[in-house]
Amino acid sequence: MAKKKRKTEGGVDLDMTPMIDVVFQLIIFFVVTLKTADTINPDIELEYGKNGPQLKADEYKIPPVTIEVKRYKRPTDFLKKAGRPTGRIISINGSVMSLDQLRAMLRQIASRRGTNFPLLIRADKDAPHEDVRAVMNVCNEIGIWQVSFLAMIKPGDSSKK
Amino acid sequence: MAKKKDRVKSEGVALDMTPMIDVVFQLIIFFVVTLKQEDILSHLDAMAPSPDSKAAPAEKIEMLTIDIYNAKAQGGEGFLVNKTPVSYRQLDSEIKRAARNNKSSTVLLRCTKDSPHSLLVKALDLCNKYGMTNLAIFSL
Repeated sequence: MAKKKRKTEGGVDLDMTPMIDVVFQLIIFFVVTLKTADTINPDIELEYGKNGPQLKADEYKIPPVTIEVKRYKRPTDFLKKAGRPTGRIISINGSVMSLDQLRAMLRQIASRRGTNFPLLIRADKDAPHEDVRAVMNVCNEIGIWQVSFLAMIKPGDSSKK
Repeated sequence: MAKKKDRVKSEGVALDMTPMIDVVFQLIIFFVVTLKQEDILSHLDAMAPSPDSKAAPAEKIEMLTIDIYNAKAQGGEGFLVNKTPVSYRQLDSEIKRAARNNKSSTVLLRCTKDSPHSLLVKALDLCNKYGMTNLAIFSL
């Protein structure tokens, strides 16, 4: 009889261990996912360029600077967040800047690291050439000569949008 | 005495699988949500690496000129080779022919202001395909 009583007591006791496990997992999940959000302009669609050399993470000894270029015709979430009107949008890591700001920023990088760093232009496929040229002119001005365009060999899930 | 020992032993051996299953499900959900396959990218060099360009030899210049314009406004596919409009496939064979002659000959890409960037990337991609490395991009 005494045995039976013990059993019912065990049923009432709440075991907190799985709940704590789950809470920790959720915390880790949000810490990991929040960090990677919004580091590039999500609206840029690249052209296919399957014959170019594949870009690998360890390709460059010096980490490259990526400049994003897009000409907006209608506002998107990204544009609203940045508080910018439609038109030419130049950004680095998702933060929008004017051509003068870009020039100042590249100058600063160049004064710290020299002009010997690779620069990647991530231009939208519908961006007019003059917008890309404007960025290339700034690079020329400062003396950055390792300029490449990014293209897509194979689309990932992110490009299906 | 015998009773007590028996009970303790059997309880210790029985593993409670519930937390493990919880955690495994969480891990599955985590990977399903975070697994976003990244685009595999290529890079097409826009400016030839020539820090010592003054020393470049001035040999006889062989040049392939490709004009790139806005096809939406003017029709065609947006490419001109020697001022005649060509399709993407014809451009492919033109560059192939030029590469067969001399891979170090210059490819001059002239873009109009309003030409879409995609056409320039396409042309650069073809140059890469046939190993043409002497590229010059001009803007009109």
